Amino acid sequence: MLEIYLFVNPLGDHCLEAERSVLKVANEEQATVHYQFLPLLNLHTVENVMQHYCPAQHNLTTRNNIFQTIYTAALDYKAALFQGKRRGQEFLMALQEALNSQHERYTDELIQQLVIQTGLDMEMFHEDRQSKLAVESFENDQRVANEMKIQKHPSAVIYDYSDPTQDYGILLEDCHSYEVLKQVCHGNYAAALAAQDAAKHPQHNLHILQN
Amino acid sequence: MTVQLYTSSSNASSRKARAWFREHDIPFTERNIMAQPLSQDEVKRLLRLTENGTEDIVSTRAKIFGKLKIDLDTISTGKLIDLIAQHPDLLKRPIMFDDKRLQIGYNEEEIRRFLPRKTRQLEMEKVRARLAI
Repeated sequence: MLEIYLFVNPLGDHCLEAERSVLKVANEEQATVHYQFLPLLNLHTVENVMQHYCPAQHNLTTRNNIFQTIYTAALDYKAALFQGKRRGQEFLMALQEALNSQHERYTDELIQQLVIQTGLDMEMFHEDRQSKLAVESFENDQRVANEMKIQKHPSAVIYDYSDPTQDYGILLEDCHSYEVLKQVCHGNYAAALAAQDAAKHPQHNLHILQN
Repeated sequence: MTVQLYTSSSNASSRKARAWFREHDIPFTERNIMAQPLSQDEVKRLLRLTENGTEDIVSTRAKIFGKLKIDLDTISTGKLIDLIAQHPDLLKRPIMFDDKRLQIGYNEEEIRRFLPRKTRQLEMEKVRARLAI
């Protein structure tokens, strides 16, 4: 049995790739895989999004706008999750796909369309959107991120329960690569490091979270 | 967050779950959901950690389920949450959860996810050193 916690930017295409990798690993593994995508929002993630989308506009207005949009998207995702993880994750991935592949803008019309597309209960979604409960759930996720020492997105924490000697979780930063994720899930850390090196991302890091 | 354990009296799986948490010295808060039914918000807090939403936590074998003539394919999620808040015996039990995971029913293997882990981040070099052994 494995547990994968993936911390993501609810707007990002890089994070969408990481989510797809987690889904692929979960589908292929023989063992049960419990996985969850948690929205992550901090100063570092805002900075990262700024550099990615508008490197020339380093002003406070842009920064605030980006922060607000990520926050709104995170709350919308949390609202969708109150109808179960599967539907919530479908909503999140459809949103990231629409924003990145179809270059849609984040509007109420888009959200409405995605709610219909993913078969969510519309009335309930609108009740939960921006609700105190959604905010509380988002803040809970930031606490979990903090406990697991997550700074950047996408980051994954993987717990393997099949090995009783492994009483720690593996924290994998910049974890979009399916190959790296798969190797970590199989406990092949040397192969995971090699795959990371091959991906030529110097910021790739593998840490061990331990008791 | 302390583990929350939702139980009902005279339920064998609830007793097993309680015994497991005690045996492993894991602090938990128990709540008899028949005596203290869940609010709608509390039902939603469970749902966010389920795979498939309401169908995971509703007991289709419960007498009340047949009595209310619920059709899971057509009922809206919102309406079903209302019914769960009114009729706690619609829920499977035990249900145990913390801030990031949820388990329905007692399962010897799955419950091990609740074993606490403190986290400490080691540097890359230490990982490499470990691998070199």
